[in-house]
Amino acid sequence: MKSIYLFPHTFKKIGLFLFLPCFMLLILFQFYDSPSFMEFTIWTPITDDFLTKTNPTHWIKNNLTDEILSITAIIGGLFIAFSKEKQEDELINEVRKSSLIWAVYVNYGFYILMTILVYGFDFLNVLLLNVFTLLIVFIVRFEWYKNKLKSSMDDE
Amino acid sequence: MTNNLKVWRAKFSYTQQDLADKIQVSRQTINAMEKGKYVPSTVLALKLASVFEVEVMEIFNLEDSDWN
Repeated sequence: MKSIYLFPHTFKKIGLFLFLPCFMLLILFQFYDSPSFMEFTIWTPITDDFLTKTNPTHWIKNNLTDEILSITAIIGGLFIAFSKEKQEDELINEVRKSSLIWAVYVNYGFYILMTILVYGFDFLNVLLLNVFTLLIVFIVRFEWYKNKLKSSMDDE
Repeated sequence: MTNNLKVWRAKFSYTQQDLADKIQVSRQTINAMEKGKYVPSTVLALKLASVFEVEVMEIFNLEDSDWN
């Protein structure tokens, strides 16, 4: 049976290598200023005076640190989450599916809880974290279940 | 659903790994099936039947609870 595309097994390591440093730096730069050499003038389709404090043209000044870090972390996270296992079979496919449903539930549970608890600008940080909760919960649940399957074999 | 995979495996003196290799799954999958924790797809059930050269229903059996 054909299943949805998954990355080759080696991408799991590449993903880990991309995700971990970028995610940690992303959190770090929530507390410290982004380096100024990452400041660029870029084009944007949306011009919002409130956020960009510039002119009505589509060219704005922006620090690209968080954009680059979050895109790299997301791609890395996708590689970790959706790379083939060494032995890809229907049981592992089943575990992947159930982990995905799990992750969606937890992700929105987290979102609802934060909507009730967090207000104002702090909510932007919640949204940033929420981008990653789906991937992180999925990966943790998937790896945990795989481990459970492995350890239940040791009594053989 | 119950199965007597373990019995058939013993008859052929296959290890879990032997059987796993024959039907292209991981050892964990064989283990999970033997423990009744995983119900395989029709394709996998047919593969197992063909490895042991028997009918599927000689390996897998429905239980009353499967009808509820």
